[in-house]
Amino acid sequence: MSQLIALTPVPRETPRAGKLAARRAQIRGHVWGLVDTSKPNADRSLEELKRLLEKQFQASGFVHYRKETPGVPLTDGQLTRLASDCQFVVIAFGD
Amino acid sequence: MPVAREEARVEGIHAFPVVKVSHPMATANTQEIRAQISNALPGIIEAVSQPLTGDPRWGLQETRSDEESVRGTFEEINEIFYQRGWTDGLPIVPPTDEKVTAMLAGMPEMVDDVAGHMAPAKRPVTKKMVAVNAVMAGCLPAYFPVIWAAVLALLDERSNLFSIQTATNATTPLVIINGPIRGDLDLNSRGNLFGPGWRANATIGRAIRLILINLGGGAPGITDMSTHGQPGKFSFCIAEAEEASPWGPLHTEYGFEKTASTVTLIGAGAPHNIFAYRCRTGREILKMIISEMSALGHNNILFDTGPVLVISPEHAAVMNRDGFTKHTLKQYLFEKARIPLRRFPPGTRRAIVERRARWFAEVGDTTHIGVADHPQDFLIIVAGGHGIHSQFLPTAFSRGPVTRVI
Repeated sequence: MSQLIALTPVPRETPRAGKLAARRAQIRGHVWGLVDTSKPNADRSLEELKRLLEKQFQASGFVHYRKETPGVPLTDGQLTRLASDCQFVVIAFGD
Repeated sequence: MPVAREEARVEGIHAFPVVKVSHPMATANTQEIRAQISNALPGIIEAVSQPLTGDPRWGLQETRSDEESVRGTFEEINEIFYQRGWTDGLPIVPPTDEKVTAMLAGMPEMVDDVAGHMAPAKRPVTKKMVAVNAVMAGCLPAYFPVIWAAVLALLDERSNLFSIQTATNATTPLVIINGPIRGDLDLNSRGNLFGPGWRANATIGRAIRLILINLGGGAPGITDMSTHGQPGKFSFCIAEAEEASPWGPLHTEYGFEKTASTVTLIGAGAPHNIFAYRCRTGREILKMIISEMSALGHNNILFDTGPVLVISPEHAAVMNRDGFTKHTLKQYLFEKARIPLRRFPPGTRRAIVERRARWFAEVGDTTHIGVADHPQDFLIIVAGGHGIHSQFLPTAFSRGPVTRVI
């Protein structure tokens, strides 16, 4: 059987060095960002999460955004506000 | 989950905490939602408060390789490629250096230059890597300019490829070819054009799909989360039967000369057959087409991307005989292909009002939803063999068709 050398069809990439945001040991009393992707039931899921965060972790406030459709990204302004005003952000959700 | 992993990997994050929330999500009732969120909350709190330690709970499934080549027999290479998720499940032509060079012979310049990064994995796209995949698909070198033009269309942000590649929807890019190159490459625009039998259609469409998998990272079942998929995810490439059309070809609507050769891409679902049995006038045929487009569950109820109609030459001739131009045909469809909102379940009705806001703002028909926001959003081509069938393809995600000159 003849030997072949086949090129791989997936490109090699230069690895990037990203890192996770710092964890916060103290959860109580913070502002949470809640981003509704407008997928079915995302709104109701975030509503329930908000209720639990207020009750169990004394969340001090919420920044709430709802996307018109799941496929559109948040605007730069929305991202800036989430980054500056919130200690945690939850996006709900992908299916 | 795999999509999130891939997105994180692109940003250089290879380990992160995961909280699983089980399906069903879209159809869960209030009680189920409360239970899901309540169960997930401890994990969410842990994820944002505890340092990530040691072993990541979700490792990445590695389909990339640091090797530039693989050695083996035809069968061994096929097995390796299949095992690494580099194929569509069918045997491939091993992309040897010699075959890849031959594939690039007509476009040998700057073969390693990066033309863009393909979603969702954002891997770099070069002519050489496209050629590797074209060889695998069985393409002839003469097809390469078509594939390259199609790839540039995929990289256009209007294609919204990330959504197409990762959605639970069955949408995939449909490739439509116009102009003289159809004859040069023996592209099928007539009978069985969505089916087998023509090498150019079959392999160009397959090459695009392999590129979506290997350069885009749209791995079926991993990042490609389509609930059912569709046969067009093997190959989805057609040509317009311009010579059999009473109207102008598609690309001239987008400003290209008739003598230009172009490729047009739009995210589309599988064709719906319209069997216009014993219809004898243009209006009777259109009644059947409109009826097909007036079903409640297809993509163009919620997506304003505009439907694709592939009208058979016989149907087109009858419509033309009865006075329809392509312009008046689109206007007629726009006016008639509307569905009363009262037919939809309440939740769907609310979603339509939200997601098709442009329809209500611009068209002003508040009791119906149309399948396109404007007459010009209907993408109509004439193609197919003899017979009284036409095809309706709902579209999704793309921000309109993207056309590139070949």
